[in-house]
This record gives sequence, structure tokens and C-alpha cells, in this order.
Amino acid sequence: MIVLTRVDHRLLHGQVAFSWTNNIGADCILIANDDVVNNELRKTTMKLAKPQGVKLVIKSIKDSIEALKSGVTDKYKLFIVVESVKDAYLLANEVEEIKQINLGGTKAADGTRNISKAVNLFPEDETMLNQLKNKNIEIEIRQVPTDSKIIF
Amino acid sequence: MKFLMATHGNFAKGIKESIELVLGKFQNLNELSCYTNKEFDLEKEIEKIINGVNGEELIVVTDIYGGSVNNGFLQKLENHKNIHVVSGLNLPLMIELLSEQDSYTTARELIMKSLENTKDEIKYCNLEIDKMVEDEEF
Repeated sequence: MIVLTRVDHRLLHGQVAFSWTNNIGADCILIANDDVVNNELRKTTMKLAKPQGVKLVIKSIKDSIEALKSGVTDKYKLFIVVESVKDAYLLANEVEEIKQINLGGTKAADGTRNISKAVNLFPEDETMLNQLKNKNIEIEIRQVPTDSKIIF
Repeated sequence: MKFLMATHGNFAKGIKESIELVLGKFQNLNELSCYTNKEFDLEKEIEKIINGVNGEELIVVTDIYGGSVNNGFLQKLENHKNIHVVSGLNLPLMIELLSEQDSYTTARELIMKSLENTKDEIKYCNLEIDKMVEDEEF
């Protein structure tokens, strides 16, 4: 069961690891990312941030979709973390179980629009999010679980 | 249940900000940054705090075991059974205490469990990387 899908450019770090995992009662974290899977250093830092007693699986976007569709993840209370809106979009388009996407943080860059303290979106990100919204997927902005949800 | 972080200087103030960044704000969390001005009177501040909690359970987390701030609160234990004093303030411990506060009925249980769960967070990370486990699968 997928309990939350979160977009955070830092992927797994203190804030995500502690507060979200605990708050949503996740027992397994999936980092869906094409870079981390091949980057030993990034992989190590993700493992260091992992809370005790929680499983951490790191897969490419393609392999994540495959795993999510296959049913092997059903027995977990799964917390999915992706780096970008695009990755969330790719997952949500293929995996019907994703009904909610939390926007936690995306870096400001040339061409992004700041929509909340930590969330910055390119026009194409906004297009993708609007498409997901039209498919009745809730898009909400929260950095920590105790923040009140801002609906995109 | 209430929480107070009490330290030498602004450590308590700073760690409170860090906690809010990670977990958000807590109504029942306060800080006492001691000796930050000449007029500071530890005894008076402690009295004020104890009167303020009005018999409710208060977990005081201080920086140094045996330090003056720690001792100041320890002296109150005899007459105030609702006060619990912990030393060795650090962020993992506070995160554990605050996020697990509703899981236990007594402060004593919460503190003992939280200490057990976070003592291991202080480590030499180079060694940890060397013994890093294999990748996990579903």
C-alpha cells in the first residue's frame, strides 16, 4: 500500500526521514531515482538518513514502476520519495494507486516560479501537475507533516 | 506533558529552531538559554518554570551532566515529583521524545525508551560507511 508520494530535491534527509516516516507510519521507503541507483556516494548518504526499523529500497524510475505494478510492494506501508515533479509524474501516470502527491521541496532555478517557501516550479512542472490534478490526484504542499496542507 | 531544553548560552534556543525545521512547532516545548545576560538568575528562572507547569509532568533536557543548569534542576527533584531531568541534549533525542510523546502514558517510560533508541546516534561516520549494508530489495 502506498501511503505517500513525496517530491523533494534532497530525497531522503533528516526532515523527511524522521518526521514523515513516523507521521505516516511507513515501514518501507522507496527512493525512485535514476541517478542515485548508480551513484554509490548518494546511495550511502540515503542509507545513513534511513530511520531504524524501516526498509529502504532504491530503484530507477523504470524499475520502480515495474515493482509497484507487480504487487511485491503491496505488503508494505510504502513511502515513495522522488526528486522532481517529472519523476512523480512518470510514476503517477503508470501507477494508479498513487492518489496523492506531496510537494516538499524543489530548488529555485532560472525559469522557475516560487509557489511556496520551498517549492519552485518550471512551467512544464505546472503543466504536469495540472494534468495529474485532472486525474483526481491530490497535489499538496507541505514541508513537514504538521504544516497545514496547501492544495496546488 | 511539557518539555524544556535548558543550556549554557543559546544552544537551547538554536536547537529549538532546528526542531521546528525538522518536525514543526510544538506548543509544549520551551527553552531556557542561560547566562545570556548579566542579570540572569538561574534559581529565579527555575522557580518561574516550575510554578508555570503547575504540577504537570515536565521533562527538562539539559546540556551537561553535572553542569550548573543540570544541578539547578536536580535540586528541585526532591520536592517536585513531576520534574524529570535528562542530560546530554541532542537533536535525535529531542526528535524521538517529541514524536513519541503520545505513545507512552508516563514521562519515565518515554524518556527511558527514547534514550535507548537514540544513544546509538552518536557515531564516527567514517566507520559506518565502511560497514554499510548491502542494497535492500522488496
